[in-house]
Amino acid sequence: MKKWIGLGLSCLLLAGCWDERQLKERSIIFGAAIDAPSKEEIAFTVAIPEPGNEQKPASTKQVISATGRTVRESTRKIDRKASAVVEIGKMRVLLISKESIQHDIYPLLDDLYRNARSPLNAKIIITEGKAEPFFRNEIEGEPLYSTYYHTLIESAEDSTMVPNTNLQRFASPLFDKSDGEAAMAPLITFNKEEKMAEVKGTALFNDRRIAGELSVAETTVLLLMNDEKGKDATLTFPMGKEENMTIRIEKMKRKMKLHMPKDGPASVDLSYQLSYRVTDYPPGHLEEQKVVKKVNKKISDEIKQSMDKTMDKIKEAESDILGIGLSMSAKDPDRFKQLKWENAYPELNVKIHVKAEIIESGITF
Amino acid sequence: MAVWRSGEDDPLSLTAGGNTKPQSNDSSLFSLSAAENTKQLIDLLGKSGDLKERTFSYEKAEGRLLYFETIVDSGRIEESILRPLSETDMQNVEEALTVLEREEIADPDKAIAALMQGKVLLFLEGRSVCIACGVETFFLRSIMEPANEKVIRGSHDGFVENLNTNIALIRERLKSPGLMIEYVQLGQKTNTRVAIIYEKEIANPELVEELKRRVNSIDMDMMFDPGFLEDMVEDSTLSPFPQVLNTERPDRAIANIMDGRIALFGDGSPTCIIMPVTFFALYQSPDDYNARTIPGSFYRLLRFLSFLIAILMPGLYIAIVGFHLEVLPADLILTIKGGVQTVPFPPIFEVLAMETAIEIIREAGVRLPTPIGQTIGIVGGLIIGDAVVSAGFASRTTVIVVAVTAISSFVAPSAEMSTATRLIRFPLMILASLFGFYGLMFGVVLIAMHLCKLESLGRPYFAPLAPFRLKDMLRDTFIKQPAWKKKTRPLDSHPIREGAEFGSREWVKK
Amino acid sequence: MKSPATISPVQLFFIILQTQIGIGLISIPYTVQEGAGKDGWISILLAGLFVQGGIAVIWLLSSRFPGLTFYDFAPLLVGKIIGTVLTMMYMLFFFVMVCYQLSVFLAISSNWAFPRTPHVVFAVLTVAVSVYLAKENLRIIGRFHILASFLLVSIIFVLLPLIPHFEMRYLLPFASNGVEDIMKGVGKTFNTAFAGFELLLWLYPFTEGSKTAKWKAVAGANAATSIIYAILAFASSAIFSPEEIKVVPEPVLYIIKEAELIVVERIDLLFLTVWAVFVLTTMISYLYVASTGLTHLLKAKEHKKSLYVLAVLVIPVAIATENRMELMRIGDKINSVSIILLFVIPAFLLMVALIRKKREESV
Repeated sequence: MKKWIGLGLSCLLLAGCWDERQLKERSIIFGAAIDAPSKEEIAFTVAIPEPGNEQKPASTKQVISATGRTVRESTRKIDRKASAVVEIGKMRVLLISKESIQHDIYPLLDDLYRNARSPLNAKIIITEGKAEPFFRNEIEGEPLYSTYYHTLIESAEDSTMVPNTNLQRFASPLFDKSDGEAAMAPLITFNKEEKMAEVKGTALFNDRRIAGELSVAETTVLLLMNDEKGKDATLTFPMGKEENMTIRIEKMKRKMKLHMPKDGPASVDLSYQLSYRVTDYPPGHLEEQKVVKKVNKKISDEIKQSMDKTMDKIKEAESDILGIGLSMSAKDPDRFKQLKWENAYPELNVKIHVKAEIIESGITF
Repeated sequence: MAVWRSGEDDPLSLTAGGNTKPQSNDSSLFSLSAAENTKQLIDLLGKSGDLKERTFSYEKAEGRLLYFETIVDSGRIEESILRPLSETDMQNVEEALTVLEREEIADPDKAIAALMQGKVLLFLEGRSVCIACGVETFFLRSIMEPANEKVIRGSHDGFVENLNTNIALIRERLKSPGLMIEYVQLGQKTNTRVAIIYEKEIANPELVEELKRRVNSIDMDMMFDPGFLEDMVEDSTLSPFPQVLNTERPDRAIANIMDGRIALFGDGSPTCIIMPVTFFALYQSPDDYNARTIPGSFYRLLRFLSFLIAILMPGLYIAIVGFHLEVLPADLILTIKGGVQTVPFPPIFEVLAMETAIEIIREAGVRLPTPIGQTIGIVGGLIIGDAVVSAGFASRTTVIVVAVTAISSFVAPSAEMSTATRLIRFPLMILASLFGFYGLMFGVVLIAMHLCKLESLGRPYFAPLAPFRLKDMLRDTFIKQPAWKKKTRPLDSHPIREGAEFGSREWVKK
Repeated sequence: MKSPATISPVQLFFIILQTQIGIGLISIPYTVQEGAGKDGWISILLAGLFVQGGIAVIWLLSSRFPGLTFYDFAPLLVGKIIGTVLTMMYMLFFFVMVCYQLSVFLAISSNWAFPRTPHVVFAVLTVAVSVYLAKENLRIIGRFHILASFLLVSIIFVLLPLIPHFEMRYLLPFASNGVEDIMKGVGKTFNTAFAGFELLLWLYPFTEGSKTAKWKAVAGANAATSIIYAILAFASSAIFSPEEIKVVPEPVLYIIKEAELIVVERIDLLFLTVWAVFVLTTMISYLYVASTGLTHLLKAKEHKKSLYVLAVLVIPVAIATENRMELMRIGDKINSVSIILLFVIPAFLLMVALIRKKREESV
């Protein structure tokens, strides 16, 4: 018995390790870019980082591109060029050019989404222009481009400038055929003179393809509307002539009331109750009760206006970011089916009520 | 509750004794002549240089003394045997002897055994028995704190090589009439005295019987304590885990005896063997009981953590670097990759080589005099480590992993346990290098199963985790509760008296 | 009593729990959604209730024969021939369950982490490790199963960071898919998720304690299993949209794939390893009961030899198919059979026992 066990063990040792993937023999990539001008042609670009040491920080070693008909084919073609097998498991950012998402985005993600090895927490970023140059262009002071994009988006998420998303959360709405919700992803652009990338706003999706864009300010408003405040959210509004006020949203409460009468169009009441701090307001006098009341009224109006504007924009894009459809379907699935959401949504009557209240005007943080 | 099954675990110890015992040599009984008797014994023993014979003939007494001059106290022979004999005017000569311990022996075999123990044999003319007088000399080492079981607070004495002194150390602190000491003589040639010590009002009699059965079955020429003794009474000698607790500290021995465990002493060794123990008892240090509750618990938890680190860390490292690199966060993976990039060997060889090197350094340092041992440690640890990294033979991460593992393995308060943890990690490393996390999982599951199976003196070894007993676990296993909360003894030794504390903290009202 | 080793009710609880929780742990949300859609978690709770009924039947049956296992008392009730046939059927069922657990385990492992390692390698290893424990007596198995149950805590740790990302609207309104769908979900759960409680038929005589203590242990184990499954199904449906869950056959691994702890990412790989232990415990329990069955049939004394025979047979059967689709089809078939074995036959035997007024005489 013992002899056989010994024999079996030595066989195992000799046969070795079928699934071994030595770290040193793999090219780990942190960032990838997809350019798919047409459905047939998918250019995949990976950025291979170079480990740093005490003298030299980590940097981007190589950028390799290849074109194939599917994502998997492109990656296999990259393997032909790269010195070691490309390991996609640690990908942190996936850049997709805006033109690639004029048509269905899911084929670009299918492999990455279902592959057991791929990371579901990679950030999806839409790029203005081609995605490949984002890894080719030098960025000043940031030798490791992939990490740069990752931190860029993460800090923007924290300050509620772009939605907090990743491969998993981005793909979730794409599956939903009943159109009750929509995906969105941050949009960035490259500034060649400054050698920097910049967050430009958000790309809105409608049924797996791009349907509109929002600016950073609008995104913040939209995220607030969706009750997705990051760690920090600031808004700036004009206060009278030549005066501007920047406020920081502290706490927020949202109430969504759905009206789905048996006959007739559906409508939604969104009421927000928020408290804020004033960070920039040179005229001051916020210690006076009267001024405070006035400012509160003004801010409430401003927020409501920008929310209305943003709402119009996403309705126009037919992109149900707020998941109103989902809420309706959760409330009354039968009625929701009758509504024919893709037609009903752009016509939806959304009433927004905002009640803003100042809580601090002295020391700001 | 577990049922105690006698003997089932250890059928081997049953058959060991019995028929192999050599028959006593058929020397005839003593005669009436003292000279003849001593001659008979001398012939039996052969002419050993230190075997002395002294004749005397006083008024009332005439006879001979036979003794080994090296192991008797000559002053005491003069004072308590020869002088009283010369001065006696009593009829009965023996009455005159002032030695404390004396025994009449009629059997030459037994007489020789007594001679070996350092007794003086007194043959009187006209009697066919000899009187064995206990005038042994003791070569006492001073009572010092054992070097490998140092504590910060608490008593600083330790057992010595003499059995009587050791028992004295225990008696001195445990002044209970229930403290039982039973002697067994083991080793056909060495004739080592072994003492079984237990508290009869606490220790489970079945366990005591079982241990006696095992000890009595021992039949060999030499009793080399404690290693031989341990091998003979342990439940599973092939297990990597020690199933007995070795200690040189009286306080530790007493604490265990008071928990219903049984201590086994051999003459000539300062180490006391305690059975039955659990895995967790081997991770308790006497320091814990002197420490306050919260720090005591913290350090105890730290010890278990270091056990896990010691057995798992190299395996985890190999599995991650070789199989599951996704597990590392992005920033870390790049750092580690930078380290392993230029190393020419696969991680398993790298780690194995470094682990072996550390073991060699340790082994080399143990037996060298302290100053040289330290130097070896520094040279080996620092210089080799640094040179290996800068030469590119091993990555920095490997060195860190190996070093942390080695240090963690030394945390165990029991030297045997520390060796066990260091050994276990080698198979785990190999499994991890073959099958990644799964290999490690299979290895850990096997160890867990083994621990569930293992028994110490027939009691579950991995208690109170398996079988699971929450109360015991919280009392003295993972956390150290204040002394007044230890109302009952741990159940793993199956004590017959469970209560241990009876409201000491219910202070008398002012 | 046949074996001197008895187990406590607590050990019974954990043996049943660990036997029930096996391959189902990571795939149960997918399995139930095939029938019940987003209301899968309700299906699971209902199935749990249904199983409580089955447990009651088995308990009533076993408590009439407090010193006998099923193998012993089945011949007393229905005669020697049918009794032997029943013994063989159950033994075969347990054997098939071991094989099925092993093949699904191998398939999922190869999908998730070890695509190139030949199935036979892990099959041999897994069976060897299981045999190492299954050859021992029940008490030691119970000890290990309790130890392994500590790993269940890991489920909470991986789910907690995901709670902020729950999308409750995927789940609302509850039970909207109708009773029929939910019942369909219920019907799918038995072989992968709930099978294991029937071990009471064999463990009853070896358990110490009163009648009710034994019932409480098994019912409690089943309740715990149902709750754990329901939580997982709930979490899966709250994270994946109803359409999305259809592409992920192991939703539980998918959910935690996203989670990051500070020093570890891809917790799914760690969880996969933890899950492997649960599969092992299930296999050990079934191997033990199957081997005691074979021992009973052969009238041998110890179960070790029959265990070795069964273990060697498990390997070729388990690696016969590596096709996931086919495995799912086989699973459905085992599921139908298991309904008969887990519910119908014990109920029938109980009826026979009641009608013929049979109970064990000398207790």
